[in-house]
Amino acid sequence: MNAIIGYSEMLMEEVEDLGQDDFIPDLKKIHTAGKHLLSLINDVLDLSKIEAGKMDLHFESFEVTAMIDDVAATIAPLVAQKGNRLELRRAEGLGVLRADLTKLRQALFNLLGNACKFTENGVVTLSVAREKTEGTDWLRFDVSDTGIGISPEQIQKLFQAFSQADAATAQKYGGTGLGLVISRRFCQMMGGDITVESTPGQGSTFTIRLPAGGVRKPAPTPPAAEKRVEALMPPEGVPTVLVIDDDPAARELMQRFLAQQGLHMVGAASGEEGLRLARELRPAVILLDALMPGIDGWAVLTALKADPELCPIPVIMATILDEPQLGFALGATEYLTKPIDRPYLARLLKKYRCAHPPCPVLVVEDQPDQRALMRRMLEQDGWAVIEAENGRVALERVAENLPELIVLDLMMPEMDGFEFLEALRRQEGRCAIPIVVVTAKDLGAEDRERLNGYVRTIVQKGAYGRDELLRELGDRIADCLGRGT
Amino acid sequence: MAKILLVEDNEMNRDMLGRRLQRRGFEVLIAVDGAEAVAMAEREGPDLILMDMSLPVMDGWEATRRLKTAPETGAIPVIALTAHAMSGDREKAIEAGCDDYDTKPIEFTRLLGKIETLLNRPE
Repeated sequence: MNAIIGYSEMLMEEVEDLGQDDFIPDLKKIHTAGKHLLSLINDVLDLSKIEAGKMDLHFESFEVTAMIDDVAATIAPLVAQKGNRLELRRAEGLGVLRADLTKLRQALFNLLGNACKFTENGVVTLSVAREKTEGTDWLRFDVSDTGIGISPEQIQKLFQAFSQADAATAQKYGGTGLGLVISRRFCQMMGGDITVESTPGQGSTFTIRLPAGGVRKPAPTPPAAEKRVEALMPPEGVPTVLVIDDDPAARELMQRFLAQQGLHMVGAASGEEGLRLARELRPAVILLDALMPGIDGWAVLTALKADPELCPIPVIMATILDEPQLGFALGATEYLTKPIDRPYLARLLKKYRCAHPPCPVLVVEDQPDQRALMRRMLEQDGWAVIEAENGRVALERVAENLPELIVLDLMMPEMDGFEFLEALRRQEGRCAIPIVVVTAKDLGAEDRERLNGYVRTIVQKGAYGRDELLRELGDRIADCLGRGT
Repeated sequence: MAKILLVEDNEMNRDMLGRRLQRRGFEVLIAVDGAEAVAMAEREGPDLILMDMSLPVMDGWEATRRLKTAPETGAIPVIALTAHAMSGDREKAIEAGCDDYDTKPIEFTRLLGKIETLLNRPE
């Protein structure tokens, strides 16, 4: 990015010296796009850090007046750009604020920058006051403008990542649509918030409120024990969703959202508690956070899927990491490509051997010679082979005699490997049977996903705004419960 | 014309900033790490030093401290360049003895203003 911005700037200077002014507009476009991209990268990095819980706050105590003067001086050129005037209103006795200075400055620059962007030949006002509510001292920063204002519908979208008030606005005014989201998260992390009031055509006021003493966002107090037990009992006929997430804010958010969807939610703050509750409550769906202290989400998933009674419960993974591959591996569905590498197969199957061989293995394969070959290999390794020539027959065999392991060809007539898997996964007590897929073709991403019947969906947290994430989760839960939205 | 020592390990950044300074009529000396910067400053006596802070061998913080404590080079103004606006970098730079500070990516006009202010500063 440095090079794109730097060299385009240099070229502009050089062509100007050479008198080739007709190149300048194009170079300017490269330069502007580079700068936009740089700010987008910085914002996305900030946001993903926040989402991952890796954004650290550095609290320090500082004089509010000095900070405000500094901010006002820095923003002055931007204010002047569109013929605006900056008015400072500082109340007496602002005193000292304990907060993360850099993050507060970033939030103030963002609000002031927005005010300047959406106001022409008007007034941008920054008012700062100290106020006391509920026994706490607060610092209040109001950024008002006399600009275009924001409609109530637009306000709703304002604090969502990647959404500016509307696409046309983005085109005209630029910006990444992330600044406000980031600023608000910063303020929330410091125990405060950002709110907005606006009248279209007259202007907007954005307000930052922060506790003067510097509070890190306190975790909500856990509910009393009796209340918890009560809350665990689902009302008649209402499906229970178990949400396993160490973040209390995330659980609270899901609680509200699922209640709106007419679902009963039980929360678990750790993997251990989640597994215990899954056994006790047999929820209809489990929503699982991948990253948790103690037993992490993937380990919980493995435990859930290894339990014959719990394995039919659909699990939705919510993760900020892109790990569908790991989900696939945890599905215990190994896969081999033909022609089969004999030593590899032996090694692979070893870990599925039961305590007292010969262990029953079901070979599902439509070609008789392939089946015979497989039988020879497996019998040499001490397995008792049962054969099936397609998925439908295989289901019958499973019903007669539960195998320890299934070796499955994917391409078969009548009922193929995918359909067989899907049918098997729905059966209680059978979904925990390990399956080794044997395939003639390289599996594509879509195939892998179909095979990966254990994890219904992996929802990537970072890819969505809060509301979009909820909508996405709602849809997935509805899929699992077999009802439309 | 004023002689500027540019200390920067990244070749592309060096090329950009070096060429732009030359175009403005400065004589530009180059050093690629802190140790080289200290040696060159002693030998060449530049009028100003632009110092990237994350450098191999000896970083910019240490190089600045050495330059500022040596009698031959202590009076040469140093502008610190850091990769991003980290909170506290400015204070850290001033503490290490830098006379001014700017962040990368370089905003050339702004940097030029700082360079000229320091060069015209009465001794």
